[in-house]
Amino acid sequence: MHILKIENLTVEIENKIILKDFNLEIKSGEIHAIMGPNGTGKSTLSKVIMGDSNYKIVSGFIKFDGIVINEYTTDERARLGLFLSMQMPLEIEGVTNADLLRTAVHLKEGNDFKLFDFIKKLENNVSKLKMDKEMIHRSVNVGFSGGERKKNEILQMYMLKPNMVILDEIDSGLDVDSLKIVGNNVMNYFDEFKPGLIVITHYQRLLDYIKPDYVHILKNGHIIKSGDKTLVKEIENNGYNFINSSDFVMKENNNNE
Amino acid sequence: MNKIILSDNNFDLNDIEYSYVEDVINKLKIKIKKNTKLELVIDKEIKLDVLFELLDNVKLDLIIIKKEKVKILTKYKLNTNSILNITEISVSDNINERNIFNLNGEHSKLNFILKTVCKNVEKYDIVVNHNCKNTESNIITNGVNISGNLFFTVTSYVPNGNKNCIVNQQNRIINLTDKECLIRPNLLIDEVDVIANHSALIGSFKDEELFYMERLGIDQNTANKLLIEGFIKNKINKNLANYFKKYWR
Repeated sequence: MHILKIENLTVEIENKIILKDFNLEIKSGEIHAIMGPNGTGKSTLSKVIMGDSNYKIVSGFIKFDGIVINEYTTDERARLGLFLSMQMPLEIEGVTNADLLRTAVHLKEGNDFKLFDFIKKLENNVSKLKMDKEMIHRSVNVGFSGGERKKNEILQMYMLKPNMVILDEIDSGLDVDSLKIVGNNVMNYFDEFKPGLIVITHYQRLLDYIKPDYVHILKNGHIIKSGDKTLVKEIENNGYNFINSSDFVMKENNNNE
Repeated sequence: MNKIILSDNNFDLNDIEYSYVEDVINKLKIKIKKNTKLELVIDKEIKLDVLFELLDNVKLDLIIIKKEKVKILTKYKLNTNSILNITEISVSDNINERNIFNLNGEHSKLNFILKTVCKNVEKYDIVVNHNCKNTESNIITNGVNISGNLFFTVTSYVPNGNKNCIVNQQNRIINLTDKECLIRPNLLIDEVDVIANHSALIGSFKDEELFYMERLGIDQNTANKLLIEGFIKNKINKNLANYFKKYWR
């Protein structure tokens, strides 16, 4: 059992507070969806969990399995088992997918790394994701469509087998068929390895495939409402403005007491 | 492939007219009369003047590998419809190089790619003279500075009247030190009817690129090596890139 716990986290970038007194706990085998309007700190949250040095933690803690990881570097967090699938995967010219993944898996497995097993696993996962095999040998994300880039992120997840997964808008740029492939593969991974899963999304359509246990609405750097998946339906019907929010006001008052 | 190795004055050339005179400054003249490929390897400390002439309607694929301290002036004359593709790599400690390209014939075309990893002092001065209309030059200079000073000066001239020229420059230095590196990208164009692009960028790798790799558990040192490998390998063949592999292994 792995636990990611975020306690009273306040984060700023360029003297602007992005997350304020943020709290969340995710355990292995749980799926949490985080939704909210644009610019409310969803992607910031994912990057802060992974230790992006552009963000400054003003107060609070990020704990993984009871250890405070605030000072851990990004690669150290990844080697603990955290994984972030990025909203906008970068192009890296000249570095092939195979080189990138081989390096990452080799560093993770150390002396246990076996090239033949790696290649077999890579080919198997590429096939599962219905990716073109040639993509393995192409520069990372260069010339990839939006959907191919997102599949590539899921391929990285499958190769690294993380135990705490953050998917930041994995559905953006995906057509209906690709969404189904990505959604089903994420759920297959979840069913097989039971990681903790944080899904950041704007839309219900992804949650048709990835069924969340908890749904949180993020606004102005806070979670203003949490619930089960019926909350997604409410948002679809009414937008985010319907939560204006008694919960939020109550929370603010409580904090002031 | 035709090959010249200057350490032992080995000239393994077919269908290429040449002369070589050893002196304080060695002089090499090469005339290309038909489509061909040539590899020039400089693996001794040398001062050298080189003249390449491409006759009408020929293509030369030229690879230049510099392994030792070199001071070199190379002039290229491109006649009508000639195409010159150069891939040049420097694995030496000390380079002082000047290349002058004269695109003398209509529809002559130059593609030049330079890759280097700089440890000491390297200076490259590249001049492209579009002496005729409908000529094209594409210059890519890529260097990684790991402990020295690296300088690129790239100057493209198009005089008035030479219409429909295409002039491209992409210059980039990845500077992994605090030492001085400089790019002077000059487009001196005195004609309106020209397509011209240039970019010049000096800096280390982007934070976003490093973060993208580090979130996969790749430490910063290894990520830097991977990015150097990618930067050097991009647009050149694997065999040439292998000359640099000690920098990422």
